Amino acid sequence: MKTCLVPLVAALTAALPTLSGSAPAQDTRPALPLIRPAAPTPETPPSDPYEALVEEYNQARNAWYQDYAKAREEGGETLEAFLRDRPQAEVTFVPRFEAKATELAGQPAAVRFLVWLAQNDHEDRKAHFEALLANHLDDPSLAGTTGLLIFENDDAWALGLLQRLLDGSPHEEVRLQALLSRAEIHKRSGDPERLELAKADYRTLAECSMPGLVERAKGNLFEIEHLQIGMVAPDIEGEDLHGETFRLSDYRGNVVVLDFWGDW
Amino acid sequence: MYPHERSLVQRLADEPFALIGVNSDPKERALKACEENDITWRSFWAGPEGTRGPIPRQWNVRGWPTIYVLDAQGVIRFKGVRGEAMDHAVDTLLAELRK
Repeated sequence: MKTCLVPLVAALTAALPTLSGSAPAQDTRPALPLIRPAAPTPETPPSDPYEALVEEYNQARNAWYQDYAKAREEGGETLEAFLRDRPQAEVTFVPRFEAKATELAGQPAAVRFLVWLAQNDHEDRKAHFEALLANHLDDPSLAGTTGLLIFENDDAWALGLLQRLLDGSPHEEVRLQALLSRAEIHKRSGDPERLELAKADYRTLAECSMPGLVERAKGNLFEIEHLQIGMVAPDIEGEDLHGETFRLSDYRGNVVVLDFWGDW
Repeated sequence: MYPHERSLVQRLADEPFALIGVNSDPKERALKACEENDITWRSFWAGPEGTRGPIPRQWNVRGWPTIYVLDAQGVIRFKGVRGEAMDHAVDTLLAELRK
């Protein structure tokens, strides 16, 4: 399945500093300042400002968690003071991402900053999504944002946004991901009428061109049609851990707890 | 998790009750976990594909543990119950059976 988080993950890994200890004598130039004037030649692109900011944020976040772990070990007043005085990384970085998004407003380069904000700035998530859709409806990376809407509390708002993507995006992948998110929102509601809406979307997805979505749609269709409370559980036939074949239905007449587990 | 399920199985040893697992570990690890944690109940093995094996895939399992509670007729009656809620679900269905 194409994962929608690829751009972000790629950004995270690409932004790792290269710490090369080789041949220091060959390079005696001073370290480049963090902000340098625009490079005159396009052959040597400046370091990507988005990736640089994400890297800085990751370091700040990791530092916060490390210090938090230390404070928690000490507990008591130390922990209280830490939680009172040390804001989480998001608090300082959200305004910086917002500043970049504002500076680049309307340009394609703003999209990654807005996506980051939609993912990390829970308080203003709606505003960031609205900005994305208002100015960047044709951006293919919106495919990676629809999953954020599945657990949005305001169902009606999330569904409206998904409809705008379904109606307005020129990219099939965006539309399919929007369809999946819409189906998941309806399925999560548990409401019988909305389960029917979910089924209709899953049936469309089960025929679509993305194998990962096809599989997920089929799994969800099966769950809606066969695994609801009040339905007879589908039988299972398989081997136990000692290689002996048995069936779930061998235990009819018993109350059965079926437990999907793993030792992790 | 293991201690709770162990005590449930022990408490209901003489009742028409079964805890049936579907295990998604590599087999050796699953057997080791059973031995180390005194897991006496039976499990289907999900196979070498683990969490993407045929049984979890058919049941659309995307989080672990996933729990279903079935009555004596094999009807799904509760989903996702853990801890005390699992005890309560099982006791409710056993009481129905005694009526």
